[in-house]
Amino acid sequence: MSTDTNATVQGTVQEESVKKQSSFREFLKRLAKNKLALFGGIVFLLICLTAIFAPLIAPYDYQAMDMSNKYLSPSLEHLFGTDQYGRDIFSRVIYGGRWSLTLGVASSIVSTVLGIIVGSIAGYFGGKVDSVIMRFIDILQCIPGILLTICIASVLGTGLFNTVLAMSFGGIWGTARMLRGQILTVRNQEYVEAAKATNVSEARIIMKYVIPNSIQPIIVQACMGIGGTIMGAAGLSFLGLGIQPPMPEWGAMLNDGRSFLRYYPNMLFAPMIFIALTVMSISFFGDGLRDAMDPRLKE
Amino acid sequence: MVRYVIRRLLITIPIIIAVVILVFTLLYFTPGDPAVMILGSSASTEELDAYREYLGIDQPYIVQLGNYLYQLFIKLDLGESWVYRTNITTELANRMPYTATICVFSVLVGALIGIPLGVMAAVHQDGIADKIVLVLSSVLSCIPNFCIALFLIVVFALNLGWLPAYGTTEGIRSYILPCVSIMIGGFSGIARQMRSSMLEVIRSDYVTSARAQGFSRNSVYFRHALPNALIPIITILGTQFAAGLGGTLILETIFSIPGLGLYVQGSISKRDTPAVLGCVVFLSILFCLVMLGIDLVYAAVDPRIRAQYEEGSRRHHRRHGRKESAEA
Amino acid sequence: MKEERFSHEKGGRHGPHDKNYHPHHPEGAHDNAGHHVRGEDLLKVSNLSVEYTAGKKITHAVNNVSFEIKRGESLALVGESGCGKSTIAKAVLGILPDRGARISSGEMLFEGKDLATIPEKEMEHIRGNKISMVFQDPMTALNPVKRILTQVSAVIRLHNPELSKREAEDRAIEMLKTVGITPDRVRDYPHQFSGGQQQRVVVAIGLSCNPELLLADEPTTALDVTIQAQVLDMMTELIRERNTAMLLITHNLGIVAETCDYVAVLYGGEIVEYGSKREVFKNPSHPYTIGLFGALPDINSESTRLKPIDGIMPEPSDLPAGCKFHTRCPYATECCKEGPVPVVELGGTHRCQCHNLEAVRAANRKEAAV
Repeated sequence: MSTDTNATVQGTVQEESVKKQSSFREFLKRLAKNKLALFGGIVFLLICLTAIFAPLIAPYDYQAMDMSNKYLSPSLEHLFGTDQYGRDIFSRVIYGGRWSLTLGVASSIVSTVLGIIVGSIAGYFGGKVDSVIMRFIDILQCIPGILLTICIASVLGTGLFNTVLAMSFGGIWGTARMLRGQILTVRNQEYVEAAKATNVSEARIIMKYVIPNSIQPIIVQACMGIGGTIMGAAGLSFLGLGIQPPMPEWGAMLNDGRSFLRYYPNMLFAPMIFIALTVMSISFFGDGLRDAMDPRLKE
Repeated sequence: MVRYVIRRLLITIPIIIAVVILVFTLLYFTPGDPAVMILGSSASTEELDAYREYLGIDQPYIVQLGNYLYQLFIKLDLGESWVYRTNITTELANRMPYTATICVFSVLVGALIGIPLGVMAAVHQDGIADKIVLVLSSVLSCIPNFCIALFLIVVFALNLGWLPAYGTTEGIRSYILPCVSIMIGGFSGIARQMRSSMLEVIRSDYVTSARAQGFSRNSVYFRHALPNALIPIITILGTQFAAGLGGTLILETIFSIPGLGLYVQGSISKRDTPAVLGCVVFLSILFCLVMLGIDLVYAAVDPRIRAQYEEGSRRHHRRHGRKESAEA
Repeated sequence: MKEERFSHEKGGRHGPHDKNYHPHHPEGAHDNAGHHVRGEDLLKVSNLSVEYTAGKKITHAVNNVSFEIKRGESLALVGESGCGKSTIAKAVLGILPDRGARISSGEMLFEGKDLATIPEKEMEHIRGNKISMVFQDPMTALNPVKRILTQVSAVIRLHNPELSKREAEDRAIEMLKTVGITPDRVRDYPHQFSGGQQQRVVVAIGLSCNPELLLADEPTTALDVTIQAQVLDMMTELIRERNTAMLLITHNLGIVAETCDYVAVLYGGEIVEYGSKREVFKNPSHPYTIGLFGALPDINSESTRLKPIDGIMPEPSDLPAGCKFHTRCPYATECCKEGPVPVVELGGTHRCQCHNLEAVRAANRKEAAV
């Protein structure tokens, strides 16, 4: 009897993996059809590539000062002009992508991973553990997010690593909540009961069924989260709490250029354009990703 | 219903205690000595020690925390600022109007613009209006509000000179730019939500059934679908308010508006623990109240939710009894 | 219009208690010296075709469907899900989805007007007033945030603008009482009712303006089996009383047997067999209809096995050429695979769309003999 059930369970698993492969191809097809998503993906890729290959692309060193060429307006030599120390803004923005993108991507990954862990713990153990974690999340949601992030950032201090930690803290709870909800619903579903009947441990069920099933929305959320974190991190640096000048993080550049707003606004436009472009491309791509993963959601 | 409200208000107390403990702990471990920050590095060791004793920060962590909770919950006092020696409650009361004005106005105006746009997009789904609203809202929601603020200052204050670039001295005119900066992100979010909410309702059976009953298309859209589609937007307004509050914290530094945001930032950087705690406690209470208010509005407009809040057992029992008798 | 109808009723035209009323013997309807017992056509649908377009894919949901409903009679559209039943009802009522759906041919004459081309303003007066509809799922067909009294009286006021709010409400309460909702509950919200009671409310909305024709789209499918019969009985009794015609959409032959005068069996968007209930039930002729009956359990029969129809219904977007049923038909021959299928008149109102009726008959006679 038990071997019989096992066989069928394996059968469905195999079928499912075949289905998964073909549905992955379908998914890519749908993604490729969505022009806006494709556009977003390509723009994001380009921004990433310019950041990675910044030394090859940037015409100048991002910290090379040239006091004889301060406050230059945009020209062919200096695409976005120069700042108060005569540094080339274009080069700084390109290098700045390294900081901003790292911040965004790393915080998203950290918060998603932590969120999965917290959510699985809450969903797996249930009972007291679950209610303690959920109450804690409730409490955190009563504090305005940015205030908490500012507090944490000031406890941890500035710098890339600390800013990543501070930024990712806020993103953990949404993912945790979602995964926990998924675990609770999936738990009572018949195929899980069937798996339980064949003596599969609950931890294994969560690893094998629940997380793979919930991973799609989590990936989408993480992807969309990158845009949010880039904006948030820029805000933090803008307040002087995240990455500090002279590092060319986009928010820090804005903070730097704020004093020259009146006479040299072009110092601000470059980082602004790059922040907006990056967030937009990620958002378009994320939307496309979501639609491609679940075409029913598309309207 | 009243019992539900009281229960919710009572739940706020442990939440606030937890918030205080959390933030207090964070601030306790923040590097830097408040005494040194306030008196300056030139102060002698004796002076510093005396000041620490005066502030009570020579005590162990748990005593300090206990003292603060005692002061907050028994004496209902937010205490004095370490740095300015002013009463924090007064300070908050003086600063709150600035923050509240920006926040409330930006959410309200955002809703007033976003809701009609979302409805228009949904009613003309896939039409030109729909595409414009979708692209506009997704582009605008991708620009951080402080970027928008800087841009608006450059264009409308510095180049055109229409509006003041900072300060609060010019009445309503001073609030236009900060409100618009927050509102732009807000209204695009509301427009998107409104669109999808409206689409969902338009596709639902009871809207088709209203058409089948002979109501005209416009009547179905605006008298049957719209009120129901607005219900989920109430929640969005709550989150928008929260986001607006967060956004205000940054924008106040840009526009030099002496609201809560400027205060809390200054207090954090000066390690003024009681001032920070005061702000956090105040904002958290405000938050809980706003959320409660939203739940109540929700219950007022949606009988299904209301039924959940009203004490369940008796009513449920009665309903069940009736169901059987009616079917029999 | 309505007054006229009621006066007819008073004249004892088709009352259910009238001895001359023979809804179950329509084939004998032309006796009595050619007197038209069946009366005039209320709705006459001819060659109706509806297609849905999604991107480049065109789905032929309804193909060349013709039928008529006389005053006070009821017609059942029977078929599997996806055969186009609901689409026909929606087309009649003019509430096909705005985007992608199109009536590609045919006309639907209702009291002499073609519903397919009638202006929207005029159609609004017909919907809910002269033709109304009962939907499948009462849970979703009622507005969740409005009291049921408001929902019923809103329809009454819409079509009787001369009534005051109070009068409309009184009439709504009366109507709800007829369907079995007591007046003390009329100010409750839909979620406070059971599924069966919700469907009663939906029926009340449908009948509140005394329509000539009621479209009932699987009205009991979403209900518990025990409640199905109650709701159905209530509904059929009400429409008999009011002499309302009904187009009943169902996949349940048991319901057809209990409630309808005429049956149209739908497959792949086409009517494959049409006739009075007696004609179709006594002498099912199309292989698909025979299959449907074979799939019903019959306590009187000695055979212990049900005979399901082989295969599955083809996707409406991907229907085969020729006879739509030939992919599943045990009697299919080469000629079924392409070209139009002839409609064979079988006497009375009975007609059937099949190439090989003779072979089917012979096979079934043999089977019956065995």
